[in-house]
Parts: sequence; C-alpha cells; structure tokens
Amino acid sequence: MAVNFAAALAASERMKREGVLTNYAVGGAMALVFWTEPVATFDLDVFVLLPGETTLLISLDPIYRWAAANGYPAEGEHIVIGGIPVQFIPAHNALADEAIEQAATLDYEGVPVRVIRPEHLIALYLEPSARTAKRLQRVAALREESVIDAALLDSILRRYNLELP
Amino acid sequence: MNRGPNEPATTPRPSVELLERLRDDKRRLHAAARALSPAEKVQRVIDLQRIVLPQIARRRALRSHEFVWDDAGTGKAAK
Repeated sequence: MAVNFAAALAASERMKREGVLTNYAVGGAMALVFWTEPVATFDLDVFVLLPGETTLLISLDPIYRWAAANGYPAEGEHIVIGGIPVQFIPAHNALADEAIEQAATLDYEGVPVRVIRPEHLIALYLEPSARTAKRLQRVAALREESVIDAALLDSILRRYNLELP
Repeated sequence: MNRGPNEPATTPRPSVELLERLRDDKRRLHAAARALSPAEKVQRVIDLQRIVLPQIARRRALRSHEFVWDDAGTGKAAK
C-alpha cells in the first residue's frame, strides 16, 4: 500500500466537517514540512479541539469510533490513515487552544490543511513538559531557517511565560 | 589557516577560505531542502525513516507506530 499523506490530512478535515472535531491543526515534526526542513518522524500529530467539552475528562472515543466506522485501524494510541500512524492530541492548555485556532490553512496536493504556525510551534516546544534537546533543535531550525514573525513570537512567549534557550 | 596554539606549522590544515566554501555549500543544501514542496518533503521524511529505523531497532524494540510509511501493508512494517 502506498503511503497517502493527503488522505491522512483529508481525514482530519472530514472529522471537522462531520462534527467529530471542533477544530484541528497539524503539529509536531510533520508541521515542519510546511515551514522548514523535514526531520525524521514516524507519526503525524494532529492537535484537536473536541466538541461538548463540558466535563473535566476528555474522551477520544468519538474519534476512535469515527475511525473504525471509516475503516481506519487503531494501533495502540495511533489511528492508521493512508498508511500513516496519526495521533489525535486534545489541546492540553490555552496555548494549544490558541495554536489550533490561529493555525494557517495551507495546501497539500490540493487538500486544504490547517498547520500550526511556526511561532506557536516554537512556544509549544518551549513548554517545560516538552522542552527536550530534540525539540530545542527544532526551535533553532525554525528560528534560523523559516520566516518567523518576531513580534508575534515575542507576544506568545510573554503571554505564556516561556523563554527561548 | 586554522592552527592550534601548540601545533607544529607542518601539519596541513584547510584554509579559512576552503572551510567557508564548505559551509556555504552546506547552507546551499539546507536552503534547497527548505525549498522543496511539501510532497517532496514528505518523501524526504520517508527516506529519513529508512535511515533512522535500523538504528533505533539496534538500540531497542520498535514500537507499533515505528515503520517506514512506504512499507505499510507490504509486510515490512514493524508490528
């Protein structure tokens, strides 16, 4: 089976249209594909806002049910779509909410795809829980090699109390 | 020339100009990688997976999501 990255992206867009998700945006290493040089990774991270979040605990059951109904198998914490393991990651805080809401809508082979902007990717990588050496390398790559809106980045870092290395 | 403080003058070293040319060429390669289309970059990710996966497999057991995307369904993917 040939890999179909566009199918994996289109699935997120369909889930949004069908109300399984309120909104989504590609994050993690695959977001770098849209902003800078690609890096090795094995899965696609899709950050999501879920509808009806009135309880304290979020369930991914609706996503897994949608995937099963559409013939996409679950592999542990991933759903395999178009040959690609996809993780749907509920927004864990206000920064992630903002990153999803303000994502850029880009084009991948004719498929519209929402991608977290580089300034928000940097901020997410700088969160204490995410701040690994590997991610700090990505921060450096994004700052050195992609077009960053310095004022936007400063504003995000200030508002979320984050610091560049 | 780049020479350490106690290094004999006979040890051949690259010139500053040569090192700068090598660095320039590296920068050119990085710029070319950035200029690829998203589809070409996805193919580059798959090429990187082929390089990285055997290295990971030598260190530890592969996880269920760690496989080369092109190998999904061909029996070569890790299960």
